[in-house]
Amino acid sequence: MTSHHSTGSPVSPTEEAGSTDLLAEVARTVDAVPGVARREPSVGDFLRTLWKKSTSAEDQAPDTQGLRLDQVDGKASLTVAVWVSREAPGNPLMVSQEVASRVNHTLIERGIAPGSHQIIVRETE
Amino acid sequence: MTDDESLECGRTVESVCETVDSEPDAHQRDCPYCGEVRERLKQLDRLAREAKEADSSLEIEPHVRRRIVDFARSNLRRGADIPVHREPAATVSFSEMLIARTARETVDTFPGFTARRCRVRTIATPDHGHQILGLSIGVVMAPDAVVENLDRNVRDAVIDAVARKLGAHVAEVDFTVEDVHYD
Repeated sequence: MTSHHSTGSPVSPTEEAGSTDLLAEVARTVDAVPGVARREPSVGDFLRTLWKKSTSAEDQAPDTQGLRLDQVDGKASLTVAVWVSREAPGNPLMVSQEVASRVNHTLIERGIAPGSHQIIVRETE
Repeated sequence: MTDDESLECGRTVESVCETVDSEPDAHQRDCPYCGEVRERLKQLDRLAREAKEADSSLEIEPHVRRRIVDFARSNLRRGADIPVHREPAATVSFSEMLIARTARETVDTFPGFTARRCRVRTIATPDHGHQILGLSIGVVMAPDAVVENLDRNVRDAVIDAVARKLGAHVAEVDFTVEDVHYD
C-alpha cells in the first residue's frame, strides 16, 4: 500500500512531483463552484500548514489553503471545509455534492481514481 | 455583524468583546452565555500576553495573522461537524451551529416562543444517504403562549426549514420549556 498526504501549503522538497499542481487544480475546481468559499478544515490541519516552510515563492503561488488530499492506493480523497453563500443555487447539501462531483471529474481527467471525500459546511453567509 | 455571531441570549460576541476590558453590565453579570464568552476572551488575552512575554521578539507575519483570524472566525462556536449525508464517494457534514441556528430561527418566528440552546445528534443509520438527525431545543415561552403549539406547528416547521434551507433530514425534535418570560 502506498500513501501520500497533501495539505494546503505545499512545503517539502520531498513532495511528490505533481502533487502541488494537483492540489492547486483541485483548489481551483472547488473555487469554481458557485457560492463556495474555502476555510481551514481542522485545527490540526491548520497548524500543520503553519509549521511547514515553503520551498519557494513559486510553491506558495497556488492558494490551496483549507484543502487536504490523501492519496492511498491510487485513490485521492479530499477533505475541505467551506462556507456556502445563501445566494448559491441549491441548498448547502446540493452545493457540497456539486463540489464532490466536480472534484471527481478533475481527478479522473488526471487519471486518478476518486476516493471518499469529506466536505464540511461550517457556515452559510 | 451577522446572526451567526449572536449568542443564545440575543447579544453578539462582538458586543461582549468590546466590553471585555470593563466591568460587566447587569445583563452580562447574570447571563451564562455572555459570561462564557467573556471568560474565553480573557483566557485568550492571557495566553497572548504570556506568549509575548516568553518571546519578546515574537512577531507574526501579516499573512499568518490573517489566516489565524480567518480560522478563528470560521471555527468560533461552530460546534462539532455533524454528518448529514453519507455515500461511498463523499460524506457531507454541517457544523452543529449551522443546523442549530436554522432550527432556532424557525422557532423564533412563532409568537411567544424563543429558542435557546439547541443540540444536534444523529439518531439512525442513513436512509438513501441521508443521515437522520434529532434535535433537542430549549425554549423560553411567553405566559400567554400555547405550549401545544410546539407539537402542533413548531416541530414540523423546524423539520421543514432544516430540509429546505440546508438539505439535512431531521426526524425528531424534542422541546424543553426552560423558562417563562413575563416581559
